[in-house]
Amino acid sequence: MRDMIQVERAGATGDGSGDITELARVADELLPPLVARLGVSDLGEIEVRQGTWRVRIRRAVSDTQAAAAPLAAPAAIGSAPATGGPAGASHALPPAAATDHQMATSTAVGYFAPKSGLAVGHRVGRGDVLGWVDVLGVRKEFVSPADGVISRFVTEPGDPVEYGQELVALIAATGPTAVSGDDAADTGPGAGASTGPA
Amino acid sequence: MFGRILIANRGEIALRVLRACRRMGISAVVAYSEADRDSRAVQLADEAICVGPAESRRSYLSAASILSAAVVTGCEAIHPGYGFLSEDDAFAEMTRAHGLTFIGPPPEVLERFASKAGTRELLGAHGLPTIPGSIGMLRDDDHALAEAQRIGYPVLIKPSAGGGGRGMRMVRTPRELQQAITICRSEARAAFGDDSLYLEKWLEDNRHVEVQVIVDRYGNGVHVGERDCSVQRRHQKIVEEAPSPALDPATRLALAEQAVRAVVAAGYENLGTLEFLVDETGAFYFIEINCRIQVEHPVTEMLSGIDLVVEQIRIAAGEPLGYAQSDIQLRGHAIEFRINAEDVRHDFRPGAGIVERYLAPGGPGVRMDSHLYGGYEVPPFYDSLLGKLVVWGEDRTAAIERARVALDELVVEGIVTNIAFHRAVIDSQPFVDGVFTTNLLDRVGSAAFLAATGR
Repeated sequence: MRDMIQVERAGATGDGSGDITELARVADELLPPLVARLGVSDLGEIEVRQGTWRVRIRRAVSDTQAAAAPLAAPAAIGSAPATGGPAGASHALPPAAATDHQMATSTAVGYFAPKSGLAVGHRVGRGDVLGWVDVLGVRKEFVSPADGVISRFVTEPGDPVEYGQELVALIAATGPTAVSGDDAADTGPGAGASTGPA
Repeated sequence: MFGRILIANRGEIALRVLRACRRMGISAVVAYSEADRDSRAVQLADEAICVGPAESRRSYLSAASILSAAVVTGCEAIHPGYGFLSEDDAFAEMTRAHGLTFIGPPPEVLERFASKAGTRELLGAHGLPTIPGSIGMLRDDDHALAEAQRIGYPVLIKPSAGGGGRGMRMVRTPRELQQAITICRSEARAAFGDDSLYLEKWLEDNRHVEVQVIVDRYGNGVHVGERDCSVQRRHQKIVEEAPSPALDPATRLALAEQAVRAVVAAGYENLGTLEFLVDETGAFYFIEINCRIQVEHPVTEMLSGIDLVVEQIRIAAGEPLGYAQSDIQLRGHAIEFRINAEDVRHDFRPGAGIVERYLAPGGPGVRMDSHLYGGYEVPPFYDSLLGKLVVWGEDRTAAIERARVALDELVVEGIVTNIAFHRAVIDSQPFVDGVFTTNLLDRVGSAAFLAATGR
């Protein structure tokens, strides 16, 4: 089962040109909140109707998630607090074959500085501050896009970075859309960078 | 001279500045938004740096991102192009505070000329005839009504921070004024982050003529002639040419000389364009100054052989002008056509999409400044300018002949353009006769115009 977005209009008539404008409006208005809602819920599918329009979005249910026999999580190293989500399950690593790599990216232009003490193997929660980008002396924080474990520093401390540049790689604890916990809705500026609607 | 420059713009002007850098042996870094990753300027740059998402407020208009990009890439100066941060004195000041040079007037000069009403007053004091207008910014509706009464209807409502003809409205009655002023304020706030408005007397049948000046920081200034930008639609320039077909050589010279004398006296520095309205009698009124390189600068380059972007960079670096007015020779006639992605038949609605095929015209006296290439996707987030076709001829007739050939040769497929509209304009009697006025297209209606010329 794959991710799906479907937008339909009942009994569409006319030359279609009005439809395109209307479609763009419906997509602009409805899709972002629906995608966000689906992302933070346990639901697999959401369907809404507005006038004659019907919008349906469905999330892929991954095998790993379905079969999530939680493996023993490695002992957390360091002090990075694991926040949010029901304890246990959401922090368990999926089987290696289906590891989900996530990337914390820069939302600013400047020099890269990871949070002091942050190291490979640390467990972090979605939305946790991982460090900052120094923009003309002002620190712009960047956050973890998911619950997971830091696997690699893609950029060296002190390096110049551009907007969208990959900074820190992590292995997510669960699938990209299976975010649970209330804090997940509190998306930081870069939190949804890799999963949000394009 | 600078060793490395950040180009903080996009589209054809980013490419134009990059070409000037190449010629001068300056390393060029192109700042781009996520929507411009595949742009020609990014491909050709010595280095490119993404400064933000498609939304210009967070990329091309983000002073912190642009300046930080210049700092981390080791640039010594920033070229802002036109639009975006090009006339932002706070940005210029910030650039200087970080030890970099803003390629344009220095911050205090930008600040002195930032207010349009203030500039009118300043240059008026230095001898330029100015258009009657409101004194200071409009405080409220009552103030606006009183000022309009004093100036006399019709009047033009203009945003102080504006540019490119955006947010302006002409009104003929107090009632229209009251209705329009609220709309103008919200438009100005949205477009420029500043809702200050002022009024200007509206001349019914006017031509828009502007003078190009170059002034170094040592007080040496020259003019490089004028440009006539009277072919407009809703205050947007579509076709520009030089010399102006409406003015005789003596009037043109007097206008240009008076303009350069006034700006030098007022302490202007770097490239600038003084815009004038010319009425039916040939009387001219100063309206505003543009403190940046302009879209239509190639028209002047075709006549003078001067590379205006190179001059802009040289002067910002502190070099003296190095030549006098008598060294400048203006030859022949040049016309520029703004090739826009817009649907003429649907109220010039802007378009976007993939350019399936792009073939630029050529031959003697033909110049195409464009960032297009086959397969390029025109993003929907920015202005609709695809490029500028500029033609030169020994005289106006020769230039129009070349324009016909070049417009017929130009191929842009996959997206809607205004190429056919340009063809209709140059075949129209008012254009051939050189009597176009700024409100002609709006009065006649663009569709009727197209139909009347058989296209």
